[in-house]
Amino acid sequence: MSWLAPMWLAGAAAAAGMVVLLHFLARRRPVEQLFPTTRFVPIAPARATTRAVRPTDLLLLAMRVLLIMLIGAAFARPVVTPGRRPRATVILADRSRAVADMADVVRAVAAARTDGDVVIAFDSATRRLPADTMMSTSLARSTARGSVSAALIAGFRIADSLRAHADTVDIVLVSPLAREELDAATDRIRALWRGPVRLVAVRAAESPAATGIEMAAPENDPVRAGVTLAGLLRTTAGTRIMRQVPTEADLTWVRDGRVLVYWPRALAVTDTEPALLAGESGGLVTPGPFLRQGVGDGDDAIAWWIDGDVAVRERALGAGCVRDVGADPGIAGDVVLRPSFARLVRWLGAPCGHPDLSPVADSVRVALSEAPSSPSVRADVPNTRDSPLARWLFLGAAVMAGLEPLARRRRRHAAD
Amino acid sequence: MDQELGALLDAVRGLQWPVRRPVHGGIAGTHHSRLRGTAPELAEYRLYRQGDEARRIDWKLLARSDRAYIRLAPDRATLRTAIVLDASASMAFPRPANDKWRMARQLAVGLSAVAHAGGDPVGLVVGTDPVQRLAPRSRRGVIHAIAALLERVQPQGTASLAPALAGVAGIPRVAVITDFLSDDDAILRWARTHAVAGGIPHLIHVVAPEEVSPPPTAMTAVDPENPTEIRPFDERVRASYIARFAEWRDGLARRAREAGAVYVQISSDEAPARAVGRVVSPASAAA
Repeated sequence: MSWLAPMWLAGAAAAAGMVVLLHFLARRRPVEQLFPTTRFVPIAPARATTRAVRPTDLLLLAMRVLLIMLIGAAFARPVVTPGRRPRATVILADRSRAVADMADVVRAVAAARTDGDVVIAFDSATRRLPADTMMSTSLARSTARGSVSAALIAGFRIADSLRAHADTVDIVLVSPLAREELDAATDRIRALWRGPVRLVAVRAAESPAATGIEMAAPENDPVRAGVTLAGLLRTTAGTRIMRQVPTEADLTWVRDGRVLVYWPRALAVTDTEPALLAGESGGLVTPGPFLRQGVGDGDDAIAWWIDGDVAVRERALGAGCVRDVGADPGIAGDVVLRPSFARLVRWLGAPCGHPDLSPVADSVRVALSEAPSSPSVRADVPNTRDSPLARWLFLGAAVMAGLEPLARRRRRHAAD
Repeated sequence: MDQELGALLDAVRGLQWPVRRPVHGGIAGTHHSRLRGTAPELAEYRLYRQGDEARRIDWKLLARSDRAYIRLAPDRATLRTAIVLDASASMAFPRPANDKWRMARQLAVGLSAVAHAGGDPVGLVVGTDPVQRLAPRSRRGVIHAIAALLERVQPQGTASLAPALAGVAGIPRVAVITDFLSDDDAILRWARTHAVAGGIPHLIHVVAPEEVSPPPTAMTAVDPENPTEIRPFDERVRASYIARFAEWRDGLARRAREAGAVYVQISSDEAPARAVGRVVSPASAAA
């Protein structure tokens, strides 16, 4: 137990000591008693009598001392704090696909961790690891995308609960901090924690790119030519470009974690588009002309025309995905011969989700690690306003205050 | 009337309060009168004189002696009685039960009942300020009236008994119930005067055991009739007090008897019926 205002306790102890001293120093006159007549009582000098401490006197003294101590203890505001540590750490360990080598993460966690610290492993979800776990076995790399926002939220919650048991709580983030792990909410979530976050960088995995593409198309197909020119044509690969409608066998093949690009030929003359904008924020521009085909609308668009309509969609299928491409290069022109088309093909052949594992800018790292500018609020200040015990102590003091006059009256009657 | 007094009245039923000498005549009663009358008991004969009632002539004696004698027997008369009660503050002891006052009240009612049962008119005088009186009467209900009056009285103040005693002049039997702590000399003077005048003064001295032998705890004694009188009371003072109080009581008893009064000391823890019996007993009158 600790006291939020211990000076009150010292004051109460001093006051109780004074009460004890007065109780034994004060000499009491013998009780005045009516007597039928004092005619026969000889006039004699009063003699001080030795005060015998009667049990009722001690009881009254104890009640008075207890009353003063209860009031002092109530104002001193006791709080029950079982085993408060000076410092506790919450370690957020990245185990997503952005991490190149999990051994780096395990080493970093082991270096930062002490007894009683909490480790939270995260990718797209978070999991608090048991205190006695072996990090090397618990921290296994996953293929899911990492989410720093989810990790921070889980970390802040744990840190709040640790504040009752530690004077200071630190947060450590062990992660390569790939671009794809941050989102639009990350900054706002970071602002919820008013202290610093220590960043421990580990090696990031390389962004996976297409390493080979199967082609289900005739030899004179222009897209096949473009894939060949890009040096990606393979007999078997994890990505397959199909120019005709996929069969059930193709879809089964996709479900095993592969990528199927359905790139149909334009069967009729349609509008042409001058360029295709692919990738995050449409940063991959592929000049046309392309024959435009409809692929429908939805939240799974990954490439657009200049007018904003969807040009390519990606939909998950089992462990893999299917990309519907609505941009036919046609059979005339040199679109497929350009380097931009090779970049487009390489991009379309990338693994599902288009992981962007490139590291974030240094400014983002700094913003993530530094504490928000609110120096008046400390992260490690425990809640000092509430002391539930104080209410009970005041109640006890009120009961003593009510009983003390009764004990005093009883003593007077006993003397009478 | 409360249960306590009711039980007392039951207990004293049958008691008599005889006098040790004949009283002046008057209304027929239970006491021997100084007058010779026509009571059935034979006292003496005298020669018939002109004017005597012929039916009082003892005809058998006439036949034997040829002289006319009439029979004389002692007459019986009533004895007016007054109970004088001290209601000063010293009677309220020990607090809070006020045992002395309770005993005095019970003695007053008990003695009144005994006197009334004997056909004697009985009255009450309470030494309050002003004095409260009930004139002696023998009608039914006088005991209740006495009890009711005493119910309303609380012992307090320093009123002397002298005004109360002045109000009982002419009443032959007067029982003064007091603790003698207010004005013992005045009471004894009155008793002497009353006895000389042919009255029968009874002085009933009520004491409390705590007064005779106070408990051995240190205290500061305060006189209720004089609150400025405060005396420390410890163990060594206690021994001296007991001796002085006993000496005073013995002296009082002697002076009371010398004055011609019937003196009885009653302790407040005594059974009230027994106390009444001691007062009315001929042994106490003879002592």
